[in-house]
Amino acid sequence: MSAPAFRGASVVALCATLLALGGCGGGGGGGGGSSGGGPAQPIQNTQPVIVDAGPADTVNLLFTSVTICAPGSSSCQTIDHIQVDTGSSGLRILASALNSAALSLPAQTDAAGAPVVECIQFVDGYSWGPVKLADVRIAGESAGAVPIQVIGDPAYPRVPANCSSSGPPENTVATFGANGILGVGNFLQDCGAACVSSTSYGLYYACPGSATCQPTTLALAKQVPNPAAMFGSDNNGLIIDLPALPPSGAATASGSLIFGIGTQSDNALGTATVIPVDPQTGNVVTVYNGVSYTDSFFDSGSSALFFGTSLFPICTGAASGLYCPPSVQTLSAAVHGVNGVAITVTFSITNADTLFSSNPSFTAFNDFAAPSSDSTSFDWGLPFFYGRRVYTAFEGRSTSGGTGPYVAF
Amino acid sequence: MMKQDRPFPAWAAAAAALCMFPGVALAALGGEEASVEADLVRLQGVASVRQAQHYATHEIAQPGGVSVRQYVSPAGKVFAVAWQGPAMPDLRQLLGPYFDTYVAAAQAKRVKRTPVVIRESSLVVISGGHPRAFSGRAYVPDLVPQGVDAEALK
Repeated sequence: MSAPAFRGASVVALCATLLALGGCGGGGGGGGGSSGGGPAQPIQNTQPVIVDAGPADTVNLLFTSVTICAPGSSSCQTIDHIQVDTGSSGLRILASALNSAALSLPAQTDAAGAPVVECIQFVDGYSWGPVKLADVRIAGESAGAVPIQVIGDPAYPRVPANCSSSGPPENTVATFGANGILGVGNFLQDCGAACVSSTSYGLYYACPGSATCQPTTLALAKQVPNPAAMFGSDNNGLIIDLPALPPSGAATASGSLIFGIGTQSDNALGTATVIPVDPQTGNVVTVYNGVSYTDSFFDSGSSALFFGTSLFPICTGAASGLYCPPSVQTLSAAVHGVNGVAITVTFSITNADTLFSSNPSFTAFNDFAAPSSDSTSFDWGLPFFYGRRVYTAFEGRSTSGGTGPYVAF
Repeated sequence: MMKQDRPFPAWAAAAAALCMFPGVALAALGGEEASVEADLVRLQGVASVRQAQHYATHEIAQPGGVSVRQYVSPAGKVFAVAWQGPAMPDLRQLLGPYFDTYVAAAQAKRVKRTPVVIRESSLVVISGGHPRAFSGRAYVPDLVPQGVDAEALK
């Protein structure tokens, strides 16, 4: 129901992209800009985002659309319902959402020239598929020949046992929950230095044949990067700007993904508090109810707030597994950056069984929480993002609020 | 910072007896401690054992920064496992016969992109985090030794 409206918005954004680039043949990684006389126009850095049921009937998943092109060509495709995820890095698209006949993407290769296939691990499953090169365009921003992952590519049907042993497969739209994922977290690559020298993470494989894959190391520049850090401009971070929601949630929620921090008039840091995150993990410390959660993080890709507490009963109805307090709980926690800066966050939790059963068609909920993996983890998922502008600054990149990695709000 | 919600486990006093030797590796949840040696080849890392009042903790730190722990009861059974690190561990190996139950539960979730929480009478698994910082634990309630709070294992 809301999806057609979203696609309409995407088309507007695409037209802006095409106008900014003077057509679809823009090619390399430049950032657009003016090509004729007169003053340079600022690049259009804002992309619409939406929470709706998506292609897999989900709740609290934030989506946008992304245009990819065969490198340097005018052969392009805009794909809707790509999840926006500040908890990971890298653009990944389900093969079934790609028009592979019209869009031939070259393979990424390792140092020995073999095609690279990736096993990306998420908390609830793994996704397997080749790394390919594509030009990436979002709003007016663009980057050329970006390594992206194509998940579930039938050319690589055999998943190595070491990959499938990390959890359930998420190689279809139904199991993945989206047509792809736009990982725009704090890190510049999905793996980073560890995969340059070691295969111990199990992310990258060299596959000279479709069924002969071996773990491989991979140079940083060949890894799947955070595409927003590859743009020619506004590449130091981004903002997710979502509206506040009523306590009962909403059918859908529409907002903006704004590229850059302090690079244009629309992305100033303003009065936001900068919270530096751990440069290895992206984590901060959250103190709630006297408990210090040392593995805490901000993640637009998590559909709820996740933390362990014995204060609230667990739902047994439609929202089985989530927290079901008898009434709305208004709570507060302190978030501590790695530099000691602290900020108080107020949030609320309500009975998730009631939320689901009262409005079964709703997909956006801001007071929605569940137990987490252990007593040290506090995941500030999408409910945290409603009613705020949340800044994510990329590692090593200079911004008006200092050098990343940090989160600010 | 120290977490403050749970008492420090009993083996803290025994931590002084910490010993390091390379001959211990991972056994699957529910498996025999004796089977540990069979898995040694699979994991290359530094292994350590800590003896507590009611159980022993075998920990392996793998080269990539992932650490896995197995908790062995006086009866010689692996009653709990835990993991932490930048990548997911080999859960098929770690959970052994319970891996398929884990996969089925993870696939059955209505809400995507969430920690996986299984709380059944025969199995508890809780797995969370994000790329570059995963953590989780699992235990078999029937195998937990008397006097041990499986929720408080560290």
